[in-house]
Amino acid sequence: MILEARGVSARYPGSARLVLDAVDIRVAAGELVAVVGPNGSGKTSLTRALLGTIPPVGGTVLLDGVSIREWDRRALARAVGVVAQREETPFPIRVAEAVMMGRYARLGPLETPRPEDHAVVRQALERCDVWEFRQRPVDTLSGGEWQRVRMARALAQGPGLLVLDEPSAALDIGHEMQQFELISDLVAAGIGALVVSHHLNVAARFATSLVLLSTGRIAAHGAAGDVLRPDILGDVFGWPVSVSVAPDGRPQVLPLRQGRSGR
Amino acid sequence: MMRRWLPLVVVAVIAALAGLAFGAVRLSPGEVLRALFDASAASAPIVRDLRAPRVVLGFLIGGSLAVCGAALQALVRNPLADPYLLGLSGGAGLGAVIAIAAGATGAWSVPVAAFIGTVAAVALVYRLGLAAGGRIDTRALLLAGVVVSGFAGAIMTAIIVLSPAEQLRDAFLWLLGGLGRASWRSVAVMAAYAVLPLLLLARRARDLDLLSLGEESAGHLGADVEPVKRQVVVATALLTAAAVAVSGMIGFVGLVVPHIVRLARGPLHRGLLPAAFILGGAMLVLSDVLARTVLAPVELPVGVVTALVGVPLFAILLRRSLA
Repeated sequence: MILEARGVSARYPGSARLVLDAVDIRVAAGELVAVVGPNGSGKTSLTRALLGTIPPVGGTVLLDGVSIREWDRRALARAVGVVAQREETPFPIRVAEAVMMGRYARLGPLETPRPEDHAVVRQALERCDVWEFRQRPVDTLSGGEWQRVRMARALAQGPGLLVLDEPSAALDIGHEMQQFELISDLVAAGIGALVVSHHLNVAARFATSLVLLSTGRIAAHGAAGDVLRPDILGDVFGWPVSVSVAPDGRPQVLPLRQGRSGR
Repeated sequence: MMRRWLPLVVVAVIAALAGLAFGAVRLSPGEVLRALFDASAASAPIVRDLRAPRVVLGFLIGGSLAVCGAALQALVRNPLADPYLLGLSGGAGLGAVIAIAAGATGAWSVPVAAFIGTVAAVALVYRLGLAAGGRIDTRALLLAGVVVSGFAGAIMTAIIVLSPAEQLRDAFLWLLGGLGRASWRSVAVMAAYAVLPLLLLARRARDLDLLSLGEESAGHLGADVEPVKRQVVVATALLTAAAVAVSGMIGFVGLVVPHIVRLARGPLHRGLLPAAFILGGAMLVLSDVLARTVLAPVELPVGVVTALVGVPLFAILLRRSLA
């Protein structure tokens, strides 16, 4: 399964500013592409354009060679699992019910979930370490628990690709690593993943390739070592950084203190 | 399965029997059953021609209002939504008051005028709630509902104040709602009218689950968001318009019943919508029994009873959910 944007530009209704400016990106099965960049650089807009929720004013988005706008929403939901940045829960559904919603695109309007749906939901709950919460109403969960529940729901969609907008926001380091190890396992098993993250070091350790966005344009892309360079990052984030090498050989970014006393 | 539905069925049967037994002439359960199965029984005319249509109409109206409330609460992701949210109350009231002030006399003239007023108000609200690209902006929709309702209400008040006392009373009673005009004919009209919107909403139950997560997540999970929103708005508007035309403005059933059902069996709409229909119907029928009997021979508008029962119930639920 391949999701790609070719020269995609986008703006929001009523705004003249381009939030994406001629962006090319490609995620294929077996790849983990990390999208990084400062606040407001267009990371979330890129996921929206890739998923067809904002129409591009230029360029095209293709999923398996077919324009994303032409994909039926239910077929798309079976192909691509998504964790969006924000979500509401006005009514307290239970965790297992929330994850079952990942199966809705596979169920008829009046069909009750089949044994296989329950099996997939159970597996997703276990993989995301939320099986023990399955009967809890979602409004009683912590931010991190809710995040893992939404990841479980994306897995329950049974997707060929995952698009995850800050999947480890609000997670402690243990659960963050667990989350990325899980994504990494899924990618090794043949899923493709596009992951937006603010955590450069985690992205560096797990991603097949990185895409660095800056004001809607691609500032750098490629292997972690080619993107996470002090000159590029200092320029894009407007803050000096040093880059060292982690034990596994991947670059590790350390933002520096600014001040007269130096570093 | 049985355990979940049995209490509702019991409540519904009790409501129906009470609706058939109580009134100006009080009948025993035995007399009610005899009248139902034997057309020549002494109490048959009362039960079959007066009370039965009133009970059935009460079920249809109360059930429809509760289903509309549940669907709209999910659509706008706001637990305070009720069926009159989309400017319906103002439009219906204005239509009815104009018909009454104009001295319309036909049995169906006020209902038809109320229906026209409702549909006009919803159309206006819908238009005001459209954002760029033909997308429905649910926040704008909420605000437009308030605005249109307020404006129609102002015109309605002006007309009422300028009307003679007799018409004023008629208009006021109509606005408070009641099942007093029930007949098999109004049951047939309401039933024929309600079937399609109810089936449509039932079909959209899973999409309503998804919509309550927000439109973006709903889309990612396979909901066709804009068509679903349009269908829900149109179905609930038509259903409520019909209910208002037949029985006036009956409040609180559509607000309170979905909350009670959610507390009892959770917020998933495949269970919520049918359960809300049954409980909404039962609540309105029981309220109607109270309205007819508490101050007999004077009959209270049923809207007064649903408010008197519904508000304390809602307040208790609210306190409990905050505790």
